Amino acid sequence: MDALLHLSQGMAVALQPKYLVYCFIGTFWGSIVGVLPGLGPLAGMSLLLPLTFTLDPTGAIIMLSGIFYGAMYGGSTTSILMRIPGEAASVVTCIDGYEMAKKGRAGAALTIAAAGSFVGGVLSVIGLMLLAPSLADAMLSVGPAAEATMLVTALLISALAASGPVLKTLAMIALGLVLAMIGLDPLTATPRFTFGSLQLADGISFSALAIGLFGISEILMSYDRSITERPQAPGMRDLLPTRKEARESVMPTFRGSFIGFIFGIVPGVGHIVSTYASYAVEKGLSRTPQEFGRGAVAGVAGPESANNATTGAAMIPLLVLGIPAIPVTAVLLSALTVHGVQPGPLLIANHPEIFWGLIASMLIGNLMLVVLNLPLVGLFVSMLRLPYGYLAPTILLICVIGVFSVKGSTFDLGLMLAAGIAGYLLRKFDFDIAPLLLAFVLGDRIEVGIRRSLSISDGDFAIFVKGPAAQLSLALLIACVVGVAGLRAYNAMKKTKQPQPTT
Amino acid sequence: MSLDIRASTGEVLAGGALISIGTAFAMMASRLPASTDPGVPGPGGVPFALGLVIAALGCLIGIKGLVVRGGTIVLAERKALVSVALLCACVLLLEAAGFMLASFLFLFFGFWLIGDADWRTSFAAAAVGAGGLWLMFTKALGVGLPYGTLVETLFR
Repeated sequence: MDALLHLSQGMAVALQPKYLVYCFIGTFWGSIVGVLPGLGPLAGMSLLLPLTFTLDPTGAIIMLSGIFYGAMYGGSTTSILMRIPGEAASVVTCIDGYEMAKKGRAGAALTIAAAGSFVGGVLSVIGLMLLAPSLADAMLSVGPAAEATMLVTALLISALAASGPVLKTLAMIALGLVLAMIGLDPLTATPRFTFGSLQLADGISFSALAIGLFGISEILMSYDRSITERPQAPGMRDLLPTRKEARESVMPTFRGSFIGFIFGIVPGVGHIVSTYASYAVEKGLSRTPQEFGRGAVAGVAGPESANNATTGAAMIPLLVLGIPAIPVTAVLLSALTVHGVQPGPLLIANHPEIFWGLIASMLIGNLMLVVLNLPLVGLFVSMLRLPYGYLAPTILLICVIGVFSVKGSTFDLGLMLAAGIAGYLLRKFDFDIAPLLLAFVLGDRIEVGIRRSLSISDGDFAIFVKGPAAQLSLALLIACVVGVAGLRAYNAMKKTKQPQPTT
Repeated sequence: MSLDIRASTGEVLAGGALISIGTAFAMMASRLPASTDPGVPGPGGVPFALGLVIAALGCLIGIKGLVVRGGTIVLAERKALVSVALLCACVLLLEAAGFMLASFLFLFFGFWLIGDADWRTSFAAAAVGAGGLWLMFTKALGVGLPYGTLVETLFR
């Protein structure tokens, strides 16, 4: 009952005209970045991040999270129509979604994906609403040592789940942490690595780093992936699935939502792995597994609901623990911190309007997306017809404006450019740059946590493994290491068992 | 036009870069004042350790690059190089020439050289784009963009 009462208060916040507008802008922009191949939610959020600094914290988080789940919706459009994933989590949807499109069922596939996304999104928000307050109460007793252990564990788990090789991902995490230490020491105010520069004394600007790493480098990388196909938008009549297709999508949607929610809570694992897991489960449970890869409805409904269900779940570590589980939530953390709001166990008590307003806006935003996305599929398809050579310079210019608008500093523009070139080169050499941003956001808190804890324990490192919260997160890390090692061993065994081609 | 590199050479270079960055951070961190509490790291303690970790990981990545053979990586192709050059020019011009001129030139050369449009189309599209972005950001969103030293000197 408490949750419903708070939700009604949240609705009163989220239904205010200005928040509805922010929610609409966020979800619409999210759908666009989700549709455009090469631009994911992270790049989309980074681009709009500086503009949210002029909003109040509730408006900022409503708009930014709208981009996050809007991109999840939009990503399926190009996957289904062109077999090009709009963003990484839509890779699995390409398999059966495109096959359905080839059979003339593109409209039905888009509707099933949208319905699955809606159900996944809404169920995950309900999960967030029910779980977060009780978890926040439990987290109030966590001290600096356990917090530092949890943060380091979250980073290490994200290294295991990253797309690049583990060694390179660990290097990115260490680099992100050390970059976060540029500027004044948070405990003694000693300048560190500033070379006497006043601009560097404030530390590296998050928006310059994020826009450089994900906006600029994304555009530079996208020249390699030019789109030649010109998709056709399905008509309104084609959007209706048949009764059989609708029936086949119901259970995969609910199973996908559950899988997505569970994976969404685990740091680093997020939306990409959940879609593969959902696809594997649906294929395993299906009476006609041979249909998978040839246009199976469950192959669209399951992964799409899973990837949207992670959005609400990913908010739990952020809002309850103050730990961004994935880089996208690191951008949200940064936006809230700029406004002087620290996400963590006290957020629900100190800023109920932000927490419950966000939850209510996510419910409204998911509804907006279903209402908007299907009728507007023609608009999104026509955007894909825009020559990329026109789009790329315009987005690059928006990156410049975005960074400049924060402090009016050309120094930050230089930083953005350097980060863009570095991000481009790192990605060329198979480094996953997302953990770098995650580590950069958490760097300060990890360092302060370590130093404060060691000060309390007189230099005894055992303090980091004391207490249930620290032990639980270490157990989770060990489980992830064992799980990943087991999975790799299984895959290697399967490879060696496969018959070698005879020459 | 593209700039290619062997994957193994790239790994060695990436490893070398990480070793240099890690060592530099460790060296600079070691010069920072130590903590007064025994056993508690001072301002340089954590970055010193991280510098060593980065250098060690760089070593491992470099060694792996020497051992494992790979294909070729297209390091940069023409459009990426043009984009970087245009961005540098735009950043350098922004305050002196003002947003309107810098963004017009950026979009004009961008559409012409990256979008492969003819110069007339590029000119028109850049004028519309620069004007539209100026209006959208300054009027609708209230973002302060520079007018440029020349305009400010003439009209002040």
